[in-house]
Amino acid sequence: MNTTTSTENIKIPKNVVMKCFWRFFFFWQVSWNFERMQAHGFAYSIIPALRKLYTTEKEMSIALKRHLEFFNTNLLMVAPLLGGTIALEEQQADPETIRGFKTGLMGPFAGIGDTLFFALFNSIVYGFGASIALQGSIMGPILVAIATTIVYTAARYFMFTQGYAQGASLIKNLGGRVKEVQDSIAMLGLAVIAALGVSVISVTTPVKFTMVQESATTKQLLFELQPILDNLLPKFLVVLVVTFVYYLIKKRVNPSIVAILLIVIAIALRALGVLA
Amino acid sequence: MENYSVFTMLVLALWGAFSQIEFLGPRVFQLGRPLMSATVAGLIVGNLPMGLAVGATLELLALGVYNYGGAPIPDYTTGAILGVAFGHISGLAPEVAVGLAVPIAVLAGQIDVLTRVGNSFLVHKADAAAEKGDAKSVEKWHLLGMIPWGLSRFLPIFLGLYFGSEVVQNISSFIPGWLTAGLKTAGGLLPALGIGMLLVYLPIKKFWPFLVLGFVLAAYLKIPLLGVALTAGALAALFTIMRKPEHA
Repeated sequence: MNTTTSTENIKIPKNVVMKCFWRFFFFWQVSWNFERMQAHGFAYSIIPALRKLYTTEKEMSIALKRHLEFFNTNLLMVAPLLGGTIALEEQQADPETIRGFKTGLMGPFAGIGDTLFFALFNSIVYGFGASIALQGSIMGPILVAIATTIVYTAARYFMFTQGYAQGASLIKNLGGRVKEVQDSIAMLGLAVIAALGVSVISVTTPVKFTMVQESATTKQLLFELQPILDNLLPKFLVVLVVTFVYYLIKKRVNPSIVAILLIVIAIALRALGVLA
Repeated sequence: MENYSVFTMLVLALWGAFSQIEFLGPRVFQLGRPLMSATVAGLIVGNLPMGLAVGATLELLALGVYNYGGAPIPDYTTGAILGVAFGHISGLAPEVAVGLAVPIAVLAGQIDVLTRVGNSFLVHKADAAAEKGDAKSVEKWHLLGMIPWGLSRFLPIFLGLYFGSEVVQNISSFIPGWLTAGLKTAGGLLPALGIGMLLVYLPIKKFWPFLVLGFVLAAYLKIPLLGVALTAGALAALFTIMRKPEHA
């Protein structure tokens, strides 16, 4: 609660609200640690707004401690939560409401954001970028940088201003739209990732069978394994490897171990002539 | 072959530190991603093809790898930069450089974990400041976090280059043919890790037809990536349109 006894809230000037945004934009996680994770960043970002609302040391102390409580969510989904919290603080919402807003939403928003921005968007964009880079062109990383800059800036800006404008009611409005966007990108993403896998994973076998036919003239028949596999299913070995990795990860094998394992298997099978 | 000049080592180490801080902060260029950090490392050492090749392979390997929920992951930023640097100075093939980069990333990941643990002291300082209502100190201690984070990349990269280059160069002259060939094969296999990890995190059960679609278009029809994206995008849009109540 701020010291204004009137029923009117102190209005935070627009430029101060945006100051909070830019702090979040540039410095959100620079103090990240396991104990409080993004909390310190949250406090740092919201301080300009707090300075306008809380003029005594005591009030500021309470507010600071409130926002130093554990907080962690997807980097981009912070935007609506930070904007919304500023709105709540401005409306003199009680601490429990603010706490509930932050902690209640940070989990689900993390899930949405991580899937939407990191797993899906990033993978599509970086998949493209990497395959262009593999062909030796620096346009790969350049196009990626442009795409991510535009999307990541626009998404944060839009969600922050929306969060601030709508305050607590943002959950309802944002919820429905996000689901639709997420589904569409998931569909696109799965197709692109399948195609990407086919193009960048290369596994072939040079194995040949020779059969000697007994006859007057010994005839050697040559069967090459790879074309046989290709007839069965194109990129069969690629599918095999991906499925193998999929089950290892599903079984919670440490990805670092899987990486080393793949290297070891590759070296061994290449030496044995099983893989090309 | 000579080692890098101390100046180059400093630039590479600073680049690592900067990438990490950009990744923690604005993350607009996402410089912590291996594709980005390796490409610039390639530019710094004057071997762009190496940077692109190592960066792309590591990127695909790590396609879905992020600190979900703050869980620690290998430090592919450092792995990429050192992989490119060692690969260039020792005249290694890109696949071999990738083979080096992966264990380096895993090792550097340990330093990353240490940093995440040690940084607690920053927020404890903030707690003390909050007790007194001292917002300015809270701000200060947050921004100071850039120092431990920067060092967590700067030190391994600089020390690795300073002490490691000679070691790596000596190793490279002993690398047998079967190892080089094996690592080349590995380079083709490793992207499967990134793809596989993604498939675990994505809603396959819900949208598996699109997985099949992408596979068929690419493997049977050999349609390029952009073509697959356009086709899938159109179908996804169609699905969304048809799903709306007015079309039911």
